[in-house]
Amino acid sequence: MVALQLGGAPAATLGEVKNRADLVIFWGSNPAESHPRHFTRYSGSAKGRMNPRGRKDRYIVLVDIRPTPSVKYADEFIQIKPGHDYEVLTAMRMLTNGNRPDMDSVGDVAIQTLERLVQRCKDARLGVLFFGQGITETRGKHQNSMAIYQFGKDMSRHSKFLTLPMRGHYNVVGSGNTMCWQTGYPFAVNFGRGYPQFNPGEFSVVDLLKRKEPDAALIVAAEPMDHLPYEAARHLENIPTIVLDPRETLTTKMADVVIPVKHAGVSVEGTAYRMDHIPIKMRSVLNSPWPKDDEPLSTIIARIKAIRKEEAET
Amino acid sequence: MGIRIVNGEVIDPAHGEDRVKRDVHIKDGKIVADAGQDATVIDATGCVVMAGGVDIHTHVAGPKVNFARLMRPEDHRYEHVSREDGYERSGTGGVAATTYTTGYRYCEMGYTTIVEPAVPPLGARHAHEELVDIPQVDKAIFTLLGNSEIIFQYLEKGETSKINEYISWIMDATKSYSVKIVNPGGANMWKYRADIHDIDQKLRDFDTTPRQIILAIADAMATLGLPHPLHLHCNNLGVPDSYKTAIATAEAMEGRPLHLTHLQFSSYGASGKRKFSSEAPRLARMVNDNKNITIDVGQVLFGKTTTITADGPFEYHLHKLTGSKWYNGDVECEDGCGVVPYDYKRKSFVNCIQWAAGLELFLLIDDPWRVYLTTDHPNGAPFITYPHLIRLLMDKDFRREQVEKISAEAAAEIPLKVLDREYTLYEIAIITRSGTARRLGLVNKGHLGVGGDADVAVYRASRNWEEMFAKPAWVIKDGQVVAKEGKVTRQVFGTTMYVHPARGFADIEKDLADFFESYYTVNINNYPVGLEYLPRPELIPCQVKA
Ligand SMILES: [Zn+2]
Repeated sequence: MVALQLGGAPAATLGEVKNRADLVIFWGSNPAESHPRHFTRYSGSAKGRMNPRGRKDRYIVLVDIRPTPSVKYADEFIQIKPGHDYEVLTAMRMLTNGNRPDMDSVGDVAIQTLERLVQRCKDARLGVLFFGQGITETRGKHQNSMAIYQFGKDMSRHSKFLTLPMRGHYNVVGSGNTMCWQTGYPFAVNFGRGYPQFNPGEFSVVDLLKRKEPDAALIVAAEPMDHLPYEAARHLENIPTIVLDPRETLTTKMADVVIPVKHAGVSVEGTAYRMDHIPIKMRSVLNSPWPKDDEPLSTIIARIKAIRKEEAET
Repeated sequence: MGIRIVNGEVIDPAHGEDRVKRDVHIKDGKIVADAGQDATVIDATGCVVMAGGVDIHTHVAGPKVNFARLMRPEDHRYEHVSREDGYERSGTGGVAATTYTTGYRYCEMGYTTIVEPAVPPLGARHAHEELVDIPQVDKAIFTLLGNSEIIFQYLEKGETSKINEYISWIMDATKSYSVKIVNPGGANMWKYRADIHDIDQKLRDFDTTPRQIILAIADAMATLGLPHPLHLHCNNLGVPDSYKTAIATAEAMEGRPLHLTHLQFSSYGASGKRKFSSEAPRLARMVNDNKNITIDVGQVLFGKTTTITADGPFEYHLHKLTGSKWYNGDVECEDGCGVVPYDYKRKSFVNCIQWAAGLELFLLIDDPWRVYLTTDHPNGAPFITYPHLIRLLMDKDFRREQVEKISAEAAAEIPLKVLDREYTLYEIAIITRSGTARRLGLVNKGHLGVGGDADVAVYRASRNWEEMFAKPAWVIKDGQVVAKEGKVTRQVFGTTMYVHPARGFADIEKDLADFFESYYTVNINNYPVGLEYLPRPELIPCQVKA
C-alpha cells in the first residue's frame, strides 16, 4: 500500500489477465495454496479473447525462495536466496533499462536466467507480475513492493506490463477503499485530533498497541489475536475490548464484550471488493438471528452522542 | 414551513430575468408562487439570487478518483475538515478531496448538483457507494462506453439495433444518467500499449473506427431519448494538433447533438517556435457555427493538481514527460484509466498556452448557453478555484494583471492578450447553472421558476467577484438553508439521478450471457447495480421522439 502511495503502478482488472496475458510471473506467491481458483479463473488455464487455448497460450514463471506446490503449474521455476528479492529485482530493472550488472549471479540466480526473463517480458503481448506475501511480508517489505512497481513501470516502456499484488483477507480491499474515500488514506488513520491523520509507522494498529497507547479497543471483523505480533496482541488482553464478529475466534475468546453479527455475504447482503478493486455484490443465503454489523455501531454512536449532550447540559 | 427570499435581485436566465427585484418563494422543496404567511424571511438586500450551481463535469467519485486519493497522501496533509469546525463528518482536502469534504465544498460555493462523468461500467457500483457519502448535492454518473468490446462486436456485424438495446441495458445496469466516450478506441488500443490517432483509424482487434463508434453511440442515445447527448473526450487529446481531431470529430457528427468536454485540452496547434500553440479561436469559430455543439472548457489554472482520466495512453505520455507517479488501471472488456500528479507552472510555456486557451474559448464563443464553466476537476485545477476563474472572466483588468505574470514568451503569442470581453453576472449564471442544467435535460434545475427544485444560492454583491462567489450568504438545498456565509450549517443528502430507457433487451440476452461467460471475470447476474445502492434515487424520464 505504501509502495503504491509512493510511486503508483501499472495495473488492470483480472479479466485483462484472462483475455490477453501471455506471460504470467508469480513472485513470492503460492497461488496453488493461497488462491486456488486464481489459476483457473484468471491466470493459468483460463481461456480468454487472445488466449483461446487457455494454459497453452501462457508462459508461467514462479519465483520463490523454495519450491512450493505451485511449481508444478509453472513452465519455469526460479529459486532465489531468501532475503534477496530486492537485489534480484534491481538487477532486472538494470537489464530492462539496457545495463548488464557486472556479476554472474545475484541472489543465487544466474544473470543469464534474468536476462532471458526480462527478454520474455519485453516480448510479451501482455506480461503480468503477481506478487505475494513472500515478498511483502519479509525483510524490506514496502521497498520490495516498490521495486516491483518500479520494474513494472520500467518494463512499460517496452511492452504492456502489469504488476498486481495477490491480496488475501476477505474484503481487505473494500475496507481500504472505504477508508480512502472517507479519509484520504487506506489504513493507519488517526482521528484523535478530530480529523484524519495518516502515519503508517506511528498510527498502525501494531505500532499503537506496541506503545500501549490504546486504553480500549473496538474490533470489527478482524482477528488481531491471530494476526498481530505477540507484543501487540498482548496489550489487547490488558485493555477493555469489544468485538463484532459472526464467528468464534481467538479474538472473541479474549474479548470483554462480544456482539455477534450477521456474516456479510452469508446472512446479510453487502459489497466486497475483489483484489483488483472490482466491487462484487454479496447475497444473503442463510438466515441469522443477529443484527447487521452496522446496527450495533450506529447504536453505540447514537448513545455516545446522547451522553455527550447530557454532559454538556449539566 | 416555507422560505421567502426578499429584497434580492434575481438572476434567472432561463426566464430572461436579469437582476429583477422580486421575491423568491419556497415550499416543500420547490419554488412556489406563494410560500404563505408563516414563511421564514431571508433578507437578501444587496444580494443576487440565483439557482444553485450545476457542474456538468467533475471527477469526484469512483475507482480512479479513489486511486488519486490513495496515491497522494501528501495531497491531504494540510487541508482538513474537522468535527470541531462544526462538520458532521471529518475529512481531508487537497485536490482529490474525500467524499464528505467534496460535498461540503461544493455547497459552500453555492453548487447543488454535480455530475461524475467517467465511470467504467464495472466501476459503477464503487462510484455509487462513494456518491452515498457525498452530502449536500444531487448527483449523477455518466458511463464510459467508447471502448466497449460488446459495442465493437456489434459494430463489426453492423447490428445497430442491438447497440440500442445494449446501451439501454447498461444505463439501467449502472444506474447511470448518460454516456461518455473517452478517446474512442484509444483505451482499447492501450491494452497493447498503442493509441489511436485518427478518427478513421482501424482498431487492432476489432474491425471498427472511432468515427463508427461515436456515430453508433450518438444515434443509439437519440433513439433511447437520453436527456443529455453524447459527452465526448476526443482522440489525440493534449497534444499539438489535437484541435484538428476535435474539428474532424465535430464534422463527423453531421448536425447530431454533441457535448465536447474540456475542449481546452483539445485546442492545441503545432505552430510557433515551440511547435505548441493555442488554436482556441478556430475551435470557438467551429462552436459558433455549429448550433448542435456545446462544450465545457476544462480550464487550466496554475498550481499543483492530480490528473485523472480514462485516457490511459495520455496519462502514460504525461508520466513520461514529468517522471512523476503513475497509476494505470485497464478495465476488462470496457475501458481504462490513468492517474498522474501534475504541476501547472507560470514559467512553463506550454502551461501558459493551456491557461490562455481555456480563457480564449470562454471569451470567443458567443453564445453562453453553449459553453460551460469547468476545470475538468481536478485535471485543469480543483473545483474550489471556480470563484477565481469567474473573476478572470468578469474582470479584464484582473485578467491583464495575470497575463503579465506568465511566461513572457507565451504572453507574446497568446490570442488572449487582445480580448477585452467581460462576462456579465447574467452570463456567469448561464455557464454555471442555467446552461448546464438545460444541456443535462434537468428541467427542474438551473432556474427559479415555479415548480423548480428549491436549490438556491444567494450571493452578496461585490466588485470582487472571486470573494462574492467563494462565500455565498445563503445556500438552500431542497428548500432548507444548508450553508450561510460560505459555511455548511446543515448536513443533507441529495438524490442520485438516473435514467431507465424503455427499450427492452430481449435480442441481446443470449449474446450478453455468452460474452460474459467468455470474456468477463464477473458473473452477469452480479453485474447490474440495483437501486439498493441509491438511497435517494431520482428517475429522470427519457424523451423518445415520436
Ligand atoms: Zn474529465
